[in-house]
Amino acid sequence: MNNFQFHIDIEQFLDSFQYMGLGMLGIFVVTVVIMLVIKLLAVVTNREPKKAKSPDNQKAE
Amino acid sequence: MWVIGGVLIFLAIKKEMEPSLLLPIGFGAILVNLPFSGAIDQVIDGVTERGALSILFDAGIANELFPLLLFVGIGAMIDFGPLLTNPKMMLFGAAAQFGIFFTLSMASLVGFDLNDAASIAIIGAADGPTSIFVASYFNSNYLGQITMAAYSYMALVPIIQPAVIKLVTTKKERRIRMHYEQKKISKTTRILFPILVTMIAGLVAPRSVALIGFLMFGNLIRECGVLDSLSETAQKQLANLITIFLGITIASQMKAENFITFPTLLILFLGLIAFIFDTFAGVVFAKILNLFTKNKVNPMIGAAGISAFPMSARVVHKMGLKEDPQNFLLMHAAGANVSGQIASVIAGGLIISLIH
Repeated sequence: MNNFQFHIDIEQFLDSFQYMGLGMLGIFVVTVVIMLVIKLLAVVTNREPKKAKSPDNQKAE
Repeated sequence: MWVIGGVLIFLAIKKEMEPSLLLPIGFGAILVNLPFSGAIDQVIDGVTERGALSILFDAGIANELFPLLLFVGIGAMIDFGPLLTNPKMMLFGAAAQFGIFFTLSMASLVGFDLNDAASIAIIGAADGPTSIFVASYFNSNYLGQITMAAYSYMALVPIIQPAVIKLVTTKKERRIRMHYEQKKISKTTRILFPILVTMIAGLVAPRSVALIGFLMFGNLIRECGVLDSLSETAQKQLANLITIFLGITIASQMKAENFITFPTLLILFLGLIAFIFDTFAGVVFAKILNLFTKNKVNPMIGAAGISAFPMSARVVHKMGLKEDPQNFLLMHAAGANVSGQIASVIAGGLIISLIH
């Protein structure tokens, strides 16, 4: 069950830095890729809707 | 534990601190700590009598199912518009996950094994389902403590964050104005976004596919425009049902002999550290960014990069108004806040992938 014992574990502490480095790097890499995808989506899908001139629209004008 | 349960119920009702989770957790803590409680498994005369909460735990927590289902509801509630309008805000969501990894190091330092350290660190995701998912994945002995800490600190964001923000920013920095330009986001973008994010995150961290996938599935239901009744069901009935079961079931891990221990105190302390360093890192990242950019960012926006949505965005917006009544930071903060939701899920998946 619960076999925690408080002690200072320098080795595990230093080991954890690799997870810190890889983890933050991974998050930022994914983030930058998602940002680029959002910008690409904005460019690809950003078309002004062309209002079709129906008789109703012409009357309104 | 009865007192602890009572305190959680009090905080939920009187102080309205995350009542949807703290109340069931508090009541559940009382249930499971009654002598020979029939709510959890009991061995009587060599025969195991199954308790409802233990059955629910096996059905939905041990296999990480409940948090994933809750994520469908959460995804259906989120509007990614402010983020899609200003994708730069994603950087603050990423930076504000630093507290997770800092806490991983601190937990490792004080003697928790790596799996438990990772489970404790994920409190810094400021996201209940992610915390439960990761802690369950690692079979952490401290699931009850971790869940309680995660939800309690999320409720305490209006107290924790302003203190940290004021410590690392100047008045001049807090008064930086940010202009918000409303942009129309096409429906196609809103539909493609959840699909593409799932694929990207899934390719980098395959173990995050369940987490990010369910969140984005909920969002896709919302944004597709043809499943309004499913979206509404996900946001309301599904989310509420799962929340009811999640809270009271988590409490099945809060037996007194395992809860009232020194590790619990340490976990509560480390959880606070996680939130503090999330905020610190987000703000400092914004300040560093300001050294290289012409259009300055109000560093408080960095603090909104944690996943406590929408509380953190509101906190930052209120602080901005306090410094300058003409400075409306809400949409920027909301963009950072929703990006924190994505980043925290990715962080959860990465931690599982790295440490597994």
